[in-house]
Amino acid sequence: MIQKKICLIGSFAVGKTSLVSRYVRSIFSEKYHTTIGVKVDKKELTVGGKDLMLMIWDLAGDDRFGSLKLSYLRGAAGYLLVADGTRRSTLATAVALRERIVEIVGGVPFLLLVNKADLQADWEIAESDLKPLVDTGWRVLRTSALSGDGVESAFQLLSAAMLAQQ
Amino acid sequence: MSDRIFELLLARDGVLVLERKGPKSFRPRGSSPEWLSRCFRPAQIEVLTREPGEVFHFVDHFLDDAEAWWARGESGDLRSEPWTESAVTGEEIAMEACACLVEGHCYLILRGLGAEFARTQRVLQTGRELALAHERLQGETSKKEILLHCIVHDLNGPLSGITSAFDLLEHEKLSKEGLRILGLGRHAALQQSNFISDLLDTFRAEVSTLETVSTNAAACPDIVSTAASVIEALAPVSDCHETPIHIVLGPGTGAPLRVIAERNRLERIFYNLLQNAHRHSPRRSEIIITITREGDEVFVSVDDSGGGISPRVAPHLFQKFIRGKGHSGKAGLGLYFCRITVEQWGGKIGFESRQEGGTRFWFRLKCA
Repeated sequence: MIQKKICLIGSFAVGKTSLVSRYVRSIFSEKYHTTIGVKVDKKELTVGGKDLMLMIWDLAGDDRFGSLKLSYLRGAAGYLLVADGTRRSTLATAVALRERIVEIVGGVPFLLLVNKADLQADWEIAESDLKPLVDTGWRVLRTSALSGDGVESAFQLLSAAMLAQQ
Repeated sequence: MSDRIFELLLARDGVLVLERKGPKSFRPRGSSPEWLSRCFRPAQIEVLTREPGEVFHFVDHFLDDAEAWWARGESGDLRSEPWTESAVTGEEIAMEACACLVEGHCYLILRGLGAEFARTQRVLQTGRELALAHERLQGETSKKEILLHCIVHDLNGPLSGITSAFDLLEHEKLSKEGLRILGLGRHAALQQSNFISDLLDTFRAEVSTLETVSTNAAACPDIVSTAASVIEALAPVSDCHETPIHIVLGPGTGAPLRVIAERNRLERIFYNLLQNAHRHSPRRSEIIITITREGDEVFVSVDDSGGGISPRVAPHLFQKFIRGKGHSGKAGLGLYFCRITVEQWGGKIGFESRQEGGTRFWFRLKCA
């Protein structure tokens, strides 16, 4: 079985841990659980007829309480940048993080997940904010860890992109 | 203390000690901590204690650094951050790893984190929840500010009607007293208009939606004629207070003197500074604007003969909603607007007490 390491990165409270929890265990908790350091999970999946074991590293959010350990990205074959659709500042953080990440892992596949699609009415991130990123080749998905919308697709798409780059 | 007791104490503290046999290969030393038998079956414990990187992906990553660190033979410890990984039972275990070198032997220490980790998590969680609440509150405040400014903007409509009515009245045959009262009315309308502009300009400046300032010299305003036009517009007030405003050009300073700014907002800065000076100056005094070119900058000062700035207010003078003595100002936005606008143009603004009495407000702008 092919094993691939992927990382989830973004501001605090954007829903990284909830996305992993939804994907790996099919559960969602309304309560926010902050991550300390890193949380490692694994999930088996089949992509294009190939069995794959994803080692999912959920990194603690970057904020005034702690800085992101980018060394954890070492060996990652891909990553998910996560922003919270209801907090515009988290998109800027994701964009800034991407620049730092490229220096470490180079051009490995990644997706931008704009999470909390179930709270669309409260969204501060507009289509026009995402269009410039899409125009430069970013792949953007709207996800909801609460409803599960887009979550499975996100991990599948990233896995397919990683296998294609192999 | 015997080795056995020491080992039991380590295990009781949740510590698993592994001695390195070869690259990423170990043998267990001492007793097993409780979390090991709780979360893993015997066969898995066998694997974990010999090749911990096979069970914990994080440890595999950590050992890349640890192997290099052992090879260098450094003293001290190499410690990981806390990490959480699921055991086969599904239970999540929070741990930290440490690599150390003791008497030529390499050890990997895995420690299960219990109450201490939970406590750290609670503190961090509280901090982040508060930060989220603060962000939400800022968002709500921002929405309310937008609503407030829509209302303020709508107040401008009726004011235009009042100003037009005053303009029409000027063509009527009014007595000298009537003209004087008309001048006062127009001044009040101008003040109201400036007040509304202050609020709207401040709001626009804060949300950074103001247009980019041109650095093209031809498009930049002449600061001398800008000041002169404001003095002219304030002539009725100057007459009423019997406090004329004079412009003095510093040595070697001639007009036009173009600065990196935008004409309308530069006029508003002069309005704010001159109206403040009028409010605080005694009758039959004078206000002096001095404009001096200093290298690549223009230095402007506005001197009055008022009672000076109160020490209580001085440190906060350029902040929002700060009002001077007797609250005779407006909403306390004028100087705040001046500061954020001058700073946006790359300039500086300040004030000082004059030795001869009164206050000097000054600002510097770059020459275009």
